[in-house]
Amino acid sequence: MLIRTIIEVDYLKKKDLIILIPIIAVIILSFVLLYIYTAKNGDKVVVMSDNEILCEYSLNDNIDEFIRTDYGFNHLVINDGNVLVTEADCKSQVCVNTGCINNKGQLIVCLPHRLCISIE
Amino acid sequence: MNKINIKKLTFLAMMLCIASVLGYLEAIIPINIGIPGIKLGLANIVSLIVLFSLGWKEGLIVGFLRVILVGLLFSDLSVIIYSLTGFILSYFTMTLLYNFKAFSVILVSVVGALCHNLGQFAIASLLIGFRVMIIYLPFLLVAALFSGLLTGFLSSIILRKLGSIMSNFS
Repeated sequence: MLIRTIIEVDYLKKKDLIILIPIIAVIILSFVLLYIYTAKNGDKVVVMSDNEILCEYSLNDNIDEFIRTDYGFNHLVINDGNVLVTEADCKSQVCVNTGCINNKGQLIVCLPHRLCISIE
Repeated sequence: MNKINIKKLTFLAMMLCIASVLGYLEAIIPINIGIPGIKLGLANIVSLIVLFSLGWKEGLIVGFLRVILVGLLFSDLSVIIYSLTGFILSYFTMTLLYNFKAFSVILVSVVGALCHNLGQFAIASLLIGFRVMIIYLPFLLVAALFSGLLTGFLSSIILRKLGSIMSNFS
């Protein structure tokens, strides 16, 4: 038989709630923890790669720098409290497409270069 | 004797093709909602359909080949490790839940999406740094919940249509 005949495809079943409710509870809890965690931190721009801190800047600085890792470069600009990556030599360009970040807890990630720029 | 079922082979090849195109679409159209790297996971619709209609082995083959193909064609080689970890973790959890037969397609899809993002979170923590990625985790989870609901809903619509067509077909 090619395809097992699919007789009933319910959109949601009652037993789903056993798993769905804990999932939603965990998500809400994680946001509460995130709020507590980020509330006490300052205005620091941290650049991390390969599990270590490459460099730190203040959000108030004006910076125009090329961050070079073993995998390539990312052009980091900090201007008037806005952090952005203007260019990078990776294929995905996720970091460039993220645009500006300016609030605590926001991130710019470049997976191919194993790079992460965050405001803490 | 193990005879190759041509209908099944064609169906799986078509599914792999659809999955790859969906993966490509997601790679060229970035969704910018303030969270970097978030995708809808449309290709997971295909994994869900094959898992629920044919079984876990077929779904694993189609999904694995899709991850490798999309990774080689449309993104960096180094990113394959993220998608592969996410896929394997989510696929095995989905298979486990599917075997209980008590849960709907939507729930299986939501849990799969959550596991996919958790797998990627684990790899990113190792390669980039746990300290920054932990801030990102709640957003990943909530994104997984909504994208999982969407892909699960789409998959159940398709499975309903497919059921009536395919039972005549074989």
